[in-house]
Amino acid sequence: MREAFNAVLKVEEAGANTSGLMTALNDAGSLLAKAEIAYRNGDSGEAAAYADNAFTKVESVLAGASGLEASSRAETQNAFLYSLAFSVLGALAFLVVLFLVWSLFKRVRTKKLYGMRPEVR
Amino acid sequence: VLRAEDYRVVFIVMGLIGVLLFAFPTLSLAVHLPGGEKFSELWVLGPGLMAEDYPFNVKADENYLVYLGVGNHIGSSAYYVVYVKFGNQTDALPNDTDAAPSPLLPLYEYRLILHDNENWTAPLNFSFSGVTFSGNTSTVKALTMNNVTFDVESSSLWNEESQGCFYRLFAELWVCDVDSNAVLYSNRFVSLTLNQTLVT
Repeated sequence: MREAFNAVLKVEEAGANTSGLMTALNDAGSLLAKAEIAYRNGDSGEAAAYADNAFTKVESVLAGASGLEASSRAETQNAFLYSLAFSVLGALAFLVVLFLVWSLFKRVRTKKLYGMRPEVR
Repeated sequence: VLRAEDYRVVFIVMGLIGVLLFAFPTLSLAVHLPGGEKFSELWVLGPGLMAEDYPFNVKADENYLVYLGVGNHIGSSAYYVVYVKFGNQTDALPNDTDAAPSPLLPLYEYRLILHDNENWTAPLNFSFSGVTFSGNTSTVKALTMNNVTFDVESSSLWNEESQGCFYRLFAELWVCDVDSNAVLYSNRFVSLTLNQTLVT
């Protein structure tokens, strides 16, 4: 159960939607709790049945988590690379445009200054 | 009127602001700012899901209802175990100072996984059976919680000062620690004091 939870946590950290896994894990948790309660009450047969069901659920969560983690990590990495490309290229384009505007502005301003005549009163 | 040098500064500032704006999406993915205080909550509510009308004077073969709740505010999903324990007025409760759980064995338990900032509430129905009074001692033979009956065989002496035979039904919150991969007591518990009586 702890192993499955850690696996789901890794999937969550990778950025995937873990709602389905969490529901399955909560079901497994309820079954495990019932197994523990039955065992504590001396009903080992019922405890074993609940534990078996919990184990099956946990196994399905582990299987789902391993696949989802890999795909989610790839998706997150791609999203980061796209974002990085947008930031670098966007910032460069912005700086180039700004530099061109600055050059144009400087030229226009210089021309305007040279075109001015001193005013004599 | 601005000088040429001033215009240059304006353009440089505009350039810096623009670069920061373009870098923001990437920075938000790469840099994770620390969140607020991280903690878990455990609470008990009365039958009306309010902090009132808690059972206090209880008697045999009568059903009582409270609600247990857990809140996750630790910044990620968490795996919790809530252990429900029962003891008399002299049995040790969890120790806040040492962050140690009660040495009593758990009877009932809940296991749940919560997303960050998610809350959970579940009913806890309970009743007592095999309650006897002999002299200044009351004995509870069995406690039923959510339709599961536990042999508890617990006795409590008449408390002269508070005028009652008191028992405690309490819940401890345990949480799965990812680093040690173990379920550890989180130093949170809630307790109900119950006065076992012949009539309520």
